[in-house]
Amino acid sequence: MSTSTYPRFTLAQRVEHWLLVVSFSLLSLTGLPQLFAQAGWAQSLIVLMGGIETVRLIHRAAATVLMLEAVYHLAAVGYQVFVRRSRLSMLPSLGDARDAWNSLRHNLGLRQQPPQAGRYSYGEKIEYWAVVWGTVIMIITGFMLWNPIATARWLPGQVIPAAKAAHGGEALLAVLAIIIWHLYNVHVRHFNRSMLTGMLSEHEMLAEHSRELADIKAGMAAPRNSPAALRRRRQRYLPMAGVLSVVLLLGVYRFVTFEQTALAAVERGERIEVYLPLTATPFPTPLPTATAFPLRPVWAGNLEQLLQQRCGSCHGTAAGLDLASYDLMLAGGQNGPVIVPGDPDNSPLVQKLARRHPGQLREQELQVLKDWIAAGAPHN
Amino acid sequence: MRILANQREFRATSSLLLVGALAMALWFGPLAAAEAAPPGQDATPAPETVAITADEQCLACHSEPDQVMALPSGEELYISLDAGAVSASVHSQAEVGCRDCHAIESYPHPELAARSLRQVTINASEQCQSCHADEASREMDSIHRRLRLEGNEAAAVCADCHNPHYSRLAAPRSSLIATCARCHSGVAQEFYQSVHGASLQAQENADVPSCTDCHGVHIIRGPHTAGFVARSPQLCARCHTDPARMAPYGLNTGVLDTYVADFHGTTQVLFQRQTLDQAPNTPLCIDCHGIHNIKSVSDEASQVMKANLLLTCQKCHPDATTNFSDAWLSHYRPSPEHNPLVYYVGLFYRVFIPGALGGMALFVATDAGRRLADRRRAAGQRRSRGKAIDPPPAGGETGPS
Repeated sequence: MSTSTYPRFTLAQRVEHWLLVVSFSLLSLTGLPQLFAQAGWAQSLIVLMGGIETVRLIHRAAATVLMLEAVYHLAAVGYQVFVRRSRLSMLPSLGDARDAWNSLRHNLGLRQQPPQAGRYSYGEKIEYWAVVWGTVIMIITGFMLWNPIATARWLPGQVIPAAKAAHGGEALLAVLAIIIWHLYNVHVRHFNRSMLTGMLSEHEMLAEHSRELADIKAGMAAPRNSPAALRRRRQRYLPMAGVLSVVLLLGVYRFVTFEQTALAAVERGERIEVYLPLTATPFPTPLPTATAFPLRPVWAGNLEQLLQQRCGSCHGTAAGLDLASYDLMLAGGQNGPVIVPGDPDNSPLVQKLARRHPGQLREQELQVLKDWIAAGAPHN
Repeated sequence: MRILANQREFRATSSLLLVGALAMALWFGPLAAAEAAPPGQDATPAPETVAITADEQCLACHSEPDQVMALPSGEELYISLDAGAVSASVHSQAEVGCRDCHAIESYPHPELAARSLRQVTINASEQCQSCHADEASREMDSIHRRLRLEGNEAAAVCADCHNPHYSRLAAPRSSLIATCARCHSGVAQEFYQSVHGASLQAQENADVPSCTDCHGVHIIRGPHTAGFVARSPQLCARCHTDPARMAPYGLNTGVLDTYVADFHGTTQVLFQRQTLDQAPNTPLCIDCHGIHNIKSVSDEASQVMKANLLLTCQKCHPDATTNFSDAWLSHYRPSPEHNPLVYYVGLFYRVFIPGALGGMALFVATDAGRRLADRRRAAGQRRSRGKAIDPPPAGGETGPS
């Protein structure tokens, strides 16, 4: 008796489940790091997955798979309800609330027997409807994030960041709920293999779906459908479902291709000439002239100053010539006097200057010097 | 941060009295060539050679005003100096003399290697690194140096910005703009119009950035590189997240956080993490606020002014309509006053998530507790039964574990 098994999920249902697993995992893996984009782990994960552009592409591809799966699921559920007229065993009822309450009491030791579950326990219904609710929210908010321009055409712009907040909150809730609820109930509490094998053992049925087991044994679980009735309903349902599916699939296609959110390449920067040198003035502003003009052809206060300034840095000592005073100047250097009073052209000082001697005088200054010598080199 | 550290130093050494790009570096040459041809009997007298041993000797000739020297290029090099300004310069104060830079030991001077004015400036700038090694090595990585290596002679060298003869330590901060404007005058004109530049120019405001605060000193990187562009929000944030600096103007210091929390900012952060070889294609601060022409948000010319915001959005989202720009929260954190819808959605999830998960956790924890207790009890019963009777048959009646 304990070796007999009971069908739990058809192959199609199992394929649906694994499609959901794959798309949900991919969505979580690519979505959560975007939600926590400030965290180091999230950034590393995104880099690892090929960068944010790739991550968003994967996220959107997985979302598309999820939406296609949702369309199929609608059609499949419709088939169960309208063609096979299966019992609406997934609909929540007051009995589920009672079961939950009794379950809690049982856990706390306030009740001897755990509640008897039918085909779907209250826990499974919570999970199923959480997925339905979550998927609807994610599809709606996802549309807004994917197509913000279209959204803002109909709704206030603030809806878009609100959708982002909801998308992130819902995602976090879904992932944590899967970890807490699904992981515990299906893998920790008891490792349930029915999504692989499609079967539950009598023992498992007794432990988890005792009311359904009783129904099966009483022959009440499956609806009785005559082949003729099935065929008739199928002929009515399939075209309707087909049209609805096509409409929904077109909707998914529109969703995915609705808008190009932004230009791929943004033209960045300014429209100004960056390198635009100022036209330089050919020469700096004239500097104050060192020598006081007019310069008079006398030693005191005039040539005294000029020669001291222009020649004095060397001719305190150089060549024995010292220009510090009138007498020293007249005394000349090691080669004798440097001026011949009355004869500027034969004065060594003038001749020297004509031979590119350092400390050149300007033309005007040289003329005053010559005038001064011609006038007999007066002291004042 | 390195950029900031250098900034003071740059400001200090930056020029005053810079008198035109062409005569930036003066090479002490012989006096006006025109006077060299002597009149009269000595047709080509052999010049006397005189050793130069003191700066006074240099200035004896070179403080004469308005002397020029013809260069092979046909240009004229201005070779006069203002002796007073030279002695007040930072170099004179530090006892750096003429011949520390100009390797001229005698008169007549050796022939100048430079053939053109530009060459004079470039050659002169080669001398700087012998004392200013740190600055010179940083400059090695600059865009100016790179352009020069690529053969662009116009790219700035030391003496284009720093006048070695007249630089003093104390120069007003705004004078820096004029320095950069010698080559980048278009940008400077734009900057003078901006909220930053106007305040710097009018009030010497120390809170607003000058050129080097963003572009760096000496190690000035190309502003069009992807890395510089990608990191630019961090440049803005350096001041705009500083409460002390923002307080006098009543500016929001949450601008970076709110930007990063938004789709665009998140993308920028993630993109930057991934690569700096490519500028992100989401908007950065500069894409909405402008670059050198940033206006106050209350200025009606501001690109982010409510009335202009949609136009700014449309730069990237050409199909955007009126409501679209409200999707951007204008750097406000969602609150009941600003963006209440976003705030309440967030609040809902802040309550709903712990509520829902807490409920689930309650069931899970009590269920696990009950199961562990049941199992312990069953094991205890087995043991006591095992003592009394035979061991129980395999696959006993206890529930699945």
